[in-house]
Amino acid sequence: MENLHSGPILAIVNQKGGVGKTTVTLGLASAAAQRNFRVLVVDLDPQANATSGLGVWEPSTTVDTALEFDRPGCASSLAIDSAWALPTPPKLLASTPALSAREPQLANDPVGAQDRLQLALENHGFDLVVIDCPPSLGLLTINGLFAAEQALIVTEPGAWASDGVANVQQTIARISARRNGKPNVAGIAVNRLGRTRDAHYWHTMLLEQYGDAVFAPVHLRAAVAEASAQSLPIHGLGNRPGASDASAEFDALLDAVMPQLSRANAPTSGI
Amino acid sequence: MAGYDPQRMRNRPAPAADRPSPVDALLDAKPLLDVEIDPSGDAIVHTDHSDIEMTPGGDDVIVTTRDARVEVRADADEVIVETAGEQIHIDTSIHPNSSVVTAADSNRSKLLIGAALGAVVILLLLMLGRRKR
Repeated sequence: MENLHSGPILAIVNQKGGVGKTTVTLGLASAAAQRNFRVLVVDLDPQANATSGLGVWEPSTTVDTALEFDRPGCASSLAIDSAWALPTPPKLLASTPALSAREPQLANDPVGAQDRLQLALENHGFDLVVIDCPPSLGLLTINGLFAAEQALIVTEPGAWASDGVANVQQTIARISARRNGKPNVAGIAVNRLGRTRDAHYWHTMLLEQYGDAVFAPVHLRAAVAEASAQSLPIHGLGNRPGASDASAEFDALLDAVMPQLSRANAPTSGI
Repeated sequence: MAGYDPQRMRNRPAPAADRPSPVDALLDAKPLLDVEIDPSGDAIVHTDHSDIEMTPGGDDVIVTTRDARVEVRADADEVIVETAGEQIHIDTSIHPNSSVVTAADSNRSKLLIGAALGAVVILLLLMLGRRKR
């Protein structure tokens, strides 16, 4: 990975759980990898859903090693192959349930441990790094936000999830104020927009409150859930009804969040 | 959709920008240790209550607190403890059939020696796994 261009680092975040951070992480990774961009997924959630979603069940190395001590630039060597059958399959800095024990250790670290992941990702050499943050506010999430240049807030159209947007915006603002404006909020991704009037009500509320910061929604579709269940990329579901529509929505989301990773800029072939 | 309002006019409050955020406590937490490396390569570890000086090889260790100073020198078979205006020399050479503590003059001093040595051991263990910044 030496001498390679290191692309943007994007944290997928919301302190509220169950809004689809992992789904959006994997959807964006699928969209970028489908375009032959070299993608690294960092799974910071001890539930390890992004890890299993990438088809990895027994990772040989995990992100826990990167967080144990200051190890500048170690992410590339700790990254493992995903099982996705794409021309340029994403790499993975895998999670493990043991990561839940790391958080209190980070909080009590004598020399401070807010920037371990940032150090690990120095000179990472990928076109895009996507960090799936855990659904809580702790040192794991803070490590994700310290490492990121941009943060994408994921929410779903509902009352508590909408509350979560305001809370995580405040969190990002506090961190950004200490880090020379980084990460900045890339925008708000509305996930699992269904057809109920309640969903439309809360989607409208988000649009009224946050305006242009709200990206085009990802709709509620069985195909997305099936991709997760089969540990497949959404772009690899073939002719499954709804898969192409879901893929197109993640393509549009990637274009909106990372315009520099457009199809026009895509490499012609994988590694 | 028209007229549908699940909040029934009880609109949800936004977090106040002028109040502390939960993340502030995590961001403002000060490291327990501040490690300083001087030009000669000695490490000086500052904590809220003590300073610990170590030579690069870890042979000499000096722990200074508000109330006491403990010196462990590689070239001397003794540990020197200065506290409460008295200097206590602890003979660390091997003496068959003799007590480790040879110059303590009160139970209080023995307790202080034990506490100081315990602190040194804990801090050394703490230092072993830490990167020097």
